[in-house]
Amino acid sequence: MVNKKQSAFLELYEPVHERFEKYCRASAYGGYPYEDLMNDCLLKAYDKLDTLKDKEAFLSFLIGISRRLLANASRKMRPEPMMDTLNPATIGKAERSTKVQFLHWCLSQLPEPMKEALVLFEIVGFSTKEIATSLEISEASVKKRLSRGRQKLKEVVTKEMENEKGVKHG
Amino acid sequence: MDNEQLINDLFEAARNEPPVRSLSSVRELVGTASASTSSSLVIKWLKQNKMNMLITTSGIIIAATILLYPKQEIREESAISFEEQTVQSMEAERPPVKEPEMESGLDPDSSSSRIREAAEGRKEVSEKTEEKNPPTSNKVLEVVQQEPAPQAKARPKKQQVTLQQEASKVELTEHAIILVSSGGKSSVREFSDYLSQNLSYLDHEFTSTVSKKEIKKFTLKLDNGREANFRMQVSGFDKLELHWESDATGEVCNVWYRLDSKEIKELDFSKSQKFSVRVKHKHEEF
Repeated sequence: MVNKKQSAFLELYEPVHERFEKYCRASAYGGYPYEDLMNDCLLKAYDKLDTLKDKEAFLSFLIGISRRLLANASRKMRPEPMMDTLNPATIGKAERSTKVQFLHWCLSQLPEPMKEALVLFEIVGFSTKEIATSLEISEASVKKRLSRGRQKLKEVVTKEMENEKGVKHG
Repeated sequence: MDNEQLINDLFEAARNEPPVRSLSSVRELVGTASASTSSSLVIKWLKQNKMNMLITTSGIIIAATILLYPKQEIREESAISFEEQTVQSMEAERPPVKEPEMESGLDPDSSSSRIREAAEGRKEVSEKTEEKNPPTSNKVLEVVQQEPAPQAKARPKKQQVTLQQEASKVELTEHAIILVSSGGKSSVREFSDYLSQNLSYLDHEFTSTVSKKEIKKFTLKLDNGREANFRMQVSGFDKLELHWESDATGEVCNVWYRLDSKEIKELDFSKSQKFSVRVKHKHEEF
């Protein structure tokens, strides 16, 4: 059984669970264990639920808390790239999980503002306007970050692919 | 496939990947978070049943009536004081004290008069200590060690350690309730039953019985260099039964627990996270 606050919280949370989980996994990769990030964020959000003004913005509310938690967390450990079976020609549905891990790793190589914008736009599915509101920056800045982030991501992916090829041919 | 297309595919895969973490685990987490909202009920029950409690800085309740099993005779230096102000605030709402013999659970051969003398002695010392150590805030609690009173020599074999902190002013913000047994499982079970009756959403958290296999033993090295042995019984989320064994000197040591997810994650003895404990016989009234 649940109490009223719990019901209200879960009612808001359930529709955004998948997107929030994806955000946490992508954002926390290589640093804060994503489950811990989710736990800490959810408990904080539950506690602060009364301060939520716009229920439509619940996901932004969660992401805002996550960002603060992430900002406070140390990021000393850098992950190793997950390069198994990551030849572009061979990546298929069966390796989707590995592809996602590879993406998370590549994203973790980007500067934080670019990574943040890309995760919110490409994975969470926010519009540029929503990202601008969430990050408290202009929409033009969001677009710039997305553009530069994508370019940077391409460089990281290209480099990793070349490394992979080098390893195979070597 | 060029890398631009690969990036699109990677994002597509990330968007379409099913969640790794189930929604039910989040429901469970939120259910535990609700426990903190029931703080007033918990506190009321603890006071009614003369159990003691500690509210940690992160809002965790430690409902504590812990038995200390000294391996050697308790040294006089082991007396640890307790802020009088907190004591008084707890006293104000404390129900009348039962007859010591009825509730002590101690060896009937123990001399209650000697115990009372010991208690009075510690109270005196506690008052003296208060002057030197003004009460700490709810956020930062402090362990205060002091010189023993001469009457404190006659301690019973089993000493009870209580952890207290004024709870009413503390907003509970976190999700864990930690129960500490008062020697045997009865008090934990009783407390669990009470919660089950009054807080139906906590049912599932308090119905299982801890098996012996789940007992985890570990030794902690305390910040003062001594060691304390613990036997811990954890059953599911949010239930902890802790038996405290003193170190070789019988000295009471501060301990800090945080219950997170399905494991005890943090034992923090940092200077900023201390709390008050007082060696107290069950007959003694704060």
